[in-house]
Amino acid sequence: MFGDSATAQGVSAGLGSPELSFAADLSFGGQAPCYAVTVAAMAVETGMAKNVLVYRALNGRSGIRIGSTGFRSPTAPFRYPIGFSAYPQYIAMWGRRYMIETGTGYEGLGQVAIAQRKYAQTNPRAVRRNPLTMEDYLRAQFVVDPFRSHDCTSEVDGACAVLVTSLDRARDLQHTPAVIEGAAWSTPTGSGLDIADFFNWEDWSVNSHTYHRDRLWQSAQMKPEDVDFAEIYDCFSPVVLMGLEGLGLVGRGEAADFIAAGETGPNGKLPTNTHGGLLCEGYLHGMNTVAEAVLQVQGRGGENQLEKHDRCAVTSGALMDGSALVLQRDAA
Amino acid sequence: MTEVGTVQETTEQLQKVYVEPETDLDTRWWFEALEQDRLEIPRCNACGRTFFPPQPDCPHCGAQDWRPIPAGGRGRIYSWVVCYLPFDPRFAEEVPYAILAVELEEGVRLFGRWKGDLDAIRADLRVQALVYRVDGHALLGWEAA
Ligand SMILES: [Zn+2]
Repeated sequence: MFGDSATAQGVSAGLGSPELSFAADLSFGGQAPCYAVTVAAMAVETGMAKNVLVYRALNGRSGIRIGSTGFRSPTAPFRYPIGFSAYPQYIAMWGRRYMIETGTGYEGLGQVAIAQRKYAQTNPRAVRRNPLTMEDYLRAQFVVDPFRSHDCTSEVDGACAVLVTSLDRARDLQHTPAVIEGAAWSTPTGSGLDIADFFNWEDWSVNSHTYHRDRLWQSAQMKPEDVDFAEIYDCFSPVVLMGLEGLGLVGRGEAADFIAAGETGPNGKLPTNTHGGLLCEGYLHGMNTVAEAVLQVQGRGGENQLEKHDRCAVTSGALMDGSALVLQRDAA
Repeated sequence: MTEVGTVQETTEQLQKVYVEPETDLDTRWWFEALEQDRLEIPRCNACGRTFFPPQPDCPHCGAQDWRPIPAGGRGRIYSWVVCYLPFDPRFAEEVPYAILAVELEEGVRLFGRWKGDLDAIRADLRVQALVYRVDGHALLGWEAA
């Protein structure tokens, strides 16, 4: 959407693919991956498509840098001239309100970064793999208070894709299918005029996942306690806290303590962001978050493969609109 | 968007264009009022509620019937950030600076530059709007009330 996207037409031409019977270029950011998978599943379900490749491909580091690139929007004049011009700053504004509402401190954000860095150390795809202690975290300089660099994802050049097809066809493939059991999207009231307009969003300490929680679990016919692990969108650290709480996976204001107690680690109650998250693996808009969920469900999680990996909740999106999926190992 | 040579140039071009208040038919009046040191906000004639930013329809009820009302400029800090890394090179000389999100007494939230001591910022602090100018453009700022 910032001129950083490979179009369906272009990718099709580049792959030398046969005629497409379905294509969709979603002009979204990090709220899209779970939803793009959902749209693909709808196309398969209606018979419009047999197999849909859902991808994100961008030169996010050598090309347009989303962290600092401006874009034309009706609300830009209320932000840019005063020096409020970048995503890290916008989400820091929500992060601060989350801290005010829940009493979470800087250490609470640090817990997210530290827990995910542990997973990243054994993920060869991760770009940030150095061990991280709370002391290291608190010593790091602010990028935009309350965020230090450890609270922010890394811009990377990369690509990532998942294949969506019918369950019948999937069962003929080499790997156990990850079945889409539930899906939800929401653009709640107050979502504003563009992806950085949150003037009318009532509570900056909760994001879209709070709004589609009930629809998600209803569509999956499951409860939050039914999932074995979670892959929560994390362009910035507090988004993990909002996502865990939003889907009801932990209680309101409890996410940082839950992480500090080790519950999102490999042996915890709810292993979360088992690839190290976008914080460590880099920013492919969370398509890599969906891919990690699929790999784990299939049992292809490498050194980070979880023991219990039958059911997973996945989210996409940090602020107003967003989406989520529940995946289940076939025949689990 | 305009295509300009390499992607690097595109990024620079975007930054250059959008740091000035680039207003349109919906937002120009607000900046014109600010130029005359008046803080105004739109209020819906149909449902009576205030809203921000200015836009053709009331986001509460959808009516295309609103008018600007004068705002007192008094409010409380809802949230804030302190910017250390200048994502936009134009602000490199100004870091660190704080951006406040303030809940106005009239019921809307507004962003503005904090003109006080960084250490004095806290949630719910009472603040007062002020107008400051950069390159002749009137912009919204805040000071302690
Ligand atoms: Zn109205």
